[in-house]
Amino acid sequence: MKSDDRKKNRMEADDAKLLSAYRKGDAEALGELVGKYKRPLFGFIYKFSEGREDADEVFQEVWVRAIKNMNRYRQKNLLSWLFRIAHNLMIDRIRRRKPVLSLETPAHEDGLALHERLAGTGLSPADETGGHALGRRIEEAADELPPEQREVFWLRMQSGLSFKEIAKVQKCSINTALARMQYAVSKLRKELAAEYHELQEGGI
Amino acid sequence: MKTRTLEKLLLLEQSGELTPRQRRALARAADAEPKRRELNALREAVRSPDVEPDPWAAAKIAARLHEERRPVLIRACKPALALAACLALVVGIWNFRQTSPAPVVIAMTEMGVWNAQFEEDLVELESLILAISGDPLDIMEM
Repeated sequence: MKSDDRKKNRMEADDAKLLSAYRKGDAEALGELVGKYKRPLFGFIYKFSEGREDADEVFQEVWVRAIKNMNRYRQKNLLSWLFRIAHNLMIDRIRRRKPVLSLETPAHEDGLALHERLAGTGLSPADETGGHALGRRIEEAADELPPEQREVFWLRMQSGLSFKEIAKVQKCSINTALARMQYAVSKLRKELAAEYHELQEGGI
Repeated sequence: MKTRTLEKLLLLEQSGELTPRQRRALARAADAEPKRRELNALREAVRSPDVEPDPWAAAKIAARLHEERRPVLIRACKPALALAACLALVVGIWNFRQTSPAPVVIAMTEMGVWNAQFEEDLVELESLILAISGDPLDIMEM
C-alpha cells in the first residue's frame, strides 16, 4: 500500500514536470503525457463511444479540454482529472444524442439504424478487440445498467481506477462508488445467471 | 460477515484499497474464496486487450491546440491593434496640420516681395487701359 502511494506520488510529480515543460513549449512533453495515460483513458472512452473513430475523437477532445483548462487544474492526480473531463464529455454527448436517437435513426456513417447495428454481427468493441463470447455477453448486460453504475463498472474493470479515483471522477463518496459497483455486479449476476456459474468455477 | 460487507471488502481488495483492519477481517471470512474467484474472473472476462488510440493522437491534439490558440492571440492583440491604428491616425492628422500651413506662409512671404513690383505693374496697366479706352468711366465699369 505504501509503495503504491510512493509510486503514485512519483507519477504525480512527473506529470507536473511534463505539464510545466509543455507550457514552456516542449511539444514532446505532451506526447509523453498522452502516451502515459492512453490505455486506461482510451479503454474507458471506447466502452462508451460508437466505434473506434468516435473514441479517437473523444480522446483527443478530452486532452484538448484538459490542456486548455490547465490553469483550472488543482487536483494532484492528472488521471482522475482526465477521467473527470471524459465523464463530463460523455454526459454532454448522451444528453445531446437523446432527443434525436431512435431505433430507426441511422447511427453511423454506414447508414445502418441502431436496431440493425444491435442485431448485427460486428462492430462492438469486444468484437474489434477479439473479446470472447462471455465477455460480449457481459458487455451487453453492462450496457443495460444505469449510467452511473455502468461508468463505475468500466472505470474499475477496464481502466483499473481505484474507488478513491472513481469517487473523484463521479464527485461522490467512496462508499457511493462502492455501492454503485456492488449494484452493478449484483445486476450482472442476475442477468447472467448461467454465465456466473461458469465464473464462480473460475473456468474461463 | 454479511454478504454485502464481504463483497465490499473483496472489491476493495481487488483495487488495493483495503486498510489493515479490513484485511484482517477479510482473512477471517471463510466464504470469501468463491466470491473472490468470481470477481477476478469477471474482471478478466470483460477486460479488452489493450485498445490504443490513433498513433498520431498526440500530434493531432497538439495541432488542434495550436489552431485554437491562434484566434485567442488575435483576440488578445485586437486592443493593441486598435490603439496602434488610432495613434497612426492622430500622427497622420498632426503631420498634415504641421505641413499644410507652410506653403501658405511661403506664398504670403512671396506676396510681400511681389507687392512692390505689383504696384508699379498695376499703375502701368491702368494707364494702358486708359489709353486704349479713352474714357475713365469705362474703366470704372470694368
